[in-house]
Amino acid sequence: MSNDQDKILEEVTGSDYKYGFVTDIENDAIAKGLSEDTVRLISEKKKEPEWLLEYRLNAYRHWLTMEQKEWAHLDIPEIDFQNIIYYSAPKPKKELASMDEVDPDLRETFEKLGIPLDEQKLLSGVAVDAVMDSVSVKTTFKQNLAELGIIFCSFSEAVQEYPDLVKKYLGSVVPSRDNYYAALNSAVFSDGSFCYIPKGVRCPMELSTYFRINAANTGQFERTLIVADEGSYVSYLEGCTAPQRDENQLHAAIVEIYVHKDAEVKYSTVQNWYPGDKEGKGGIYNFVTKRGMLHGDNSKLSWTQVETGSAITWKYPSCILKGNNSTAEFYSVAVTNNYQQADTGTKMIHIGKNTKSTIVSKGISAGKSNNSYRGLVKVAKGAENARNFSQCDSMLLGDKCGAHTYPYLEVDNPTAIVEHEATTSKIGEDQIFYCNQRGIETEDAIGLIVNGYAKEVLNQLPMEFAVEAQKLLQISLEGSVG
Amino acid sequence: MSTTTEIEKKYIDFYIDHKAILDQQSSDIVNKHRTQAIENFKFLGLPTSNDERYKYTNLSKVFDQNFDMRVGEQIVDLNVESIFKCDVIRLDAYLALLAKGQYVTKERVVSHDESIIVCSLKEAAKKYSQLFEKYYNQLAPQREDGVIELNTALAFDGVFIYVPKGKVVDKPIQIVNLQVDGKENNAIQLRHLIVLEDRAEAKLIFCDDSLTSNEHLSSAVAEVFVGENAHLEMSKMQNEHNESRNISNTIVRQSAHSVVTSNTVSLLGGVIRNNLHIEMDGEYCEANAYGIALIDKAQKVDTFTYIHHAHPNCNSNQLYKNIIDDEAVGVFSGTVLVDKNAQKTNAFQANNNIILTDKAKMNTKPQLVIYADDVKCSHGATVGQLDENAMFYMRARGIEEKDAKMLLMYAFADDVIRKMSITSLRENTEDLVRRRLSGELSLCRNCSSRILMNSTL
Repeated sequence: MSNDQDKILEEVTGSDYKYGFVTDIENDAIAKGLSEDTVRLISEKKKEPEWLLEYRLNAYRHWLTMEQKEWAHLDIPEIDFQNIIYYSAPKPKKELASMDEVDPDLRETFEKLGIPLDEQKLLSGVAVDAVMDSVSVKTTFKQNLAELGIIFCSFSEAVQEYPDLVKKYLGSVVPSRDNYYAALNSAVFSDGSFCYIPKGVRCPMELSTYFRINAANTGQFERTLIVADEGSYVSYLEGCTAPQRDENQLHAAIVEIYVHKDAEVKYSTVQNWYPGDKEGKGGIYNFVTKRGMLHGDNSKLSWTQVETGSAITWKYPSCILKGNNSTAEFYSVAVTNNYQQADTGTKMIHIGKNTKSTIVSKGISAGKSNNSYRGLVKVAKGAENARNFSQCDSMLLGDKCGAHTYPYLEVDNPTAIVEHEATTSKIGEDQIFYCNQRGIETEDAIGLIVNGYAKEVLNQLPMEFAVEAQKLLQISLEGSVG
Repeated sequence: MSTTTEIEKKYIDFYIDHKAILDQQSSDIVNKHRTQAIENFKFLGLPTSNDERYKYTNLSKVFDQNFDMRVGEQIVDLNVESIFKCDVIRLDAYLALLAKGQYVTKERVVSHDESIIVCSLKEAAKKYSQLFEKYYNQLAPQREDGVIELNTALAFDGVFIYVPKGKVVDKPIQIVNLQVDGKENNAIQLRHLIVLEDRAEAKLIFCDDSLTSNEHLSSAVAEVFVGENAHLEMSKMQNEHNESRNISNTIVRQSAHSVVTSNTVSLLGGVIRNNLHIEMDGEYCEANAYGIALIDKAQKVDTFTYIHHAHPNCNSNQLYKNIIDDEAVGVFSGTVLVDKNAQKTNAFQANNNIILTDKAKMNTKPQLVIYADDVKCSHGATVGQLDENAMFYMRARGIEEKDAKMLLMYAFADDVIRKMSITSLRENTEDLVRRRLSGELSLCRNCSSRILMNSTL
């Protein structure tokens, strides 16, 4: 145990932001700025059908009429939407027949990140759809999955090959007019992942996408669409690291999950984008709309997130519990340090009968950061016997940070049972004393306690992610305890 | 901020038309705040549901009735003083009466000590101008809330209470605001100023009652100053009728080592909005805020609390409960703000609700905003029904469903009522709640008989 702790601490004290590097690949980028022409250009570059262009244009036109809302407990510097490159794709050098032909620079990047994009990935049991900037470069395991009828490909590929499916589900969970950033994404989204699990199929492996923001000045507008048909099961992982960068980068993604009858989706994220340096300079703005529609009866959706990166996080993975007996879960650990800001939480909207939702959120703030939990539990009139339990704990490390809880409970049905509880605390002197007394140094003790505090959530992560997440927690909190 | 709406314009016009009368009948100290306040009101407007603080209650709608607004001196044709007798058994309290937005009690209220002042706000502004000026409109938030600004602009009368250093008021002071106008729908603005100096002690009971069944609006702003080591208990009994609109803003500033307790009992009232804002302006303050609302039909009770821990070692406790029946709507939004230097803060906030029907609704938003690290803060909110196991237990022992239900609800409510320290008031509240739960109209008996009397007048 103590060996592990030492190792973690060593990594902690040594590291700044270990994933900070820029890969020098030629970019096929369009000029800065946003206009209808930009939208048309993106659509054209991606050879999209007419309906999708219309979808984008509608979203864009509506976006123009919208305003950025200020309810979040965040201090967002003004974003110049004209100073962003909305499309950048690594130039395809030639058709790729095998791994050897993948750009060596790119492969090196993936190796630094530890993404197994070679045959070893078969052993690790993870199919990786690596998204470098905006276009998928390489999709693996497609064959294996295809045998089961599972579609797992880049979003642009899906648009070309499965237009009916995409057309049916695109915007069905997050309408293009949902909110400011969702509208922006709907207008200019570049690429992302598409996943379809057919009826009764249990996906045999964890599906995973590594998002990277690479080319300087490129806003990343990802679009993920997951559809789980009747009785299917899938566990989807998304992990993020980003190169160190001085300019702020905007990331406005959309994740839509559509869960049919008896199906189950488990969505896990580890987010470690560049949070800015110790003075709060740089860092990524992460304004993401994630939502799941539990459309069928007995459907199940579980969000697990570990948020350690980004200068500003604005993210509320939500669930619409429409099907009867549907179950939704939200597990979150959000760590903020230095000048990071996070306003994150979930929305559980109970519509069907006998629906259940669980929210476990653990916030840890250190340095001069601000960390807010904001969550809505809504029980609609017809949602008989809805049940919700929310627990939102905050931990403060240091006296210059803030931890806030903003739960909203709206109950419209007498049979509902909704519970919310939250606590704010620091690491108790008695806990440290207990550890010290047993020969555990204060720093180790803090690592131990923080990990124990977040355990409830970390346990929800798939094994390989759990290990990574545990280390991330430590790295993120580096220098925050004294 | 936004363009002025029709309703807002109506109030602004009313102000313009009546400024001369108000200025003439009020002291300069009150008058000098009016202009700024109406400017602020023009800027802020009435809060709409776009305002996060009023998300669940659109106050513009509450103000949007054809109210016959009254300011300045009114003729109170009833001899309220002679007919009013509070029937709270054995309640031994000093009584101050307000009717038609005016302070009507003529005699001295607190008899045992001449230095303790209880009088009308209007009178205090003239008679004790130095003291009054020091405190008046010093605490009400500026340029934040249109309702408060409107109140400051139209302020005319209310109650003024001053307890000097080290003085203890020997009995509770009961302040009864009666709606007596039997003819028209009226709107009144009340302004209270309460000052407790260091080591002073007082218990106040604010009763809102109505002798009419007409639609009316009363908007009250109370500024409360609590000195070092002072103790203040405020109980608010809201028991008008379901056509009434009652908006109250209570802003408290506590100095070091002081204790403030607020109890709110909301039984009858169409729309009730209670804002309680407590500023802790010194170390070792203690603030307790408790509330119970029993609402049915189309009633709406919106409770808003804001407790600001600005100094170390302060404690705050909040417990708010709602029982919501029929189509009633309950709202709770509470915020605890802990500043960076407010270490060793203990803050607790709980909101429990029972909803009894399909159409009843509860929105709750308990919030913690914390910037200090060595604190113990927690909050909890529940929305649910009566405990089935407890019901079964009682039914199995031969207690009828109706009675068992009542017992459980009563026990639920009693957690809050129990906090009241004035025994007779507590017993009366228990009685009112019990009657209310069993379906009786729970007006204080004398007040309700007064309605009959008034209608025959």
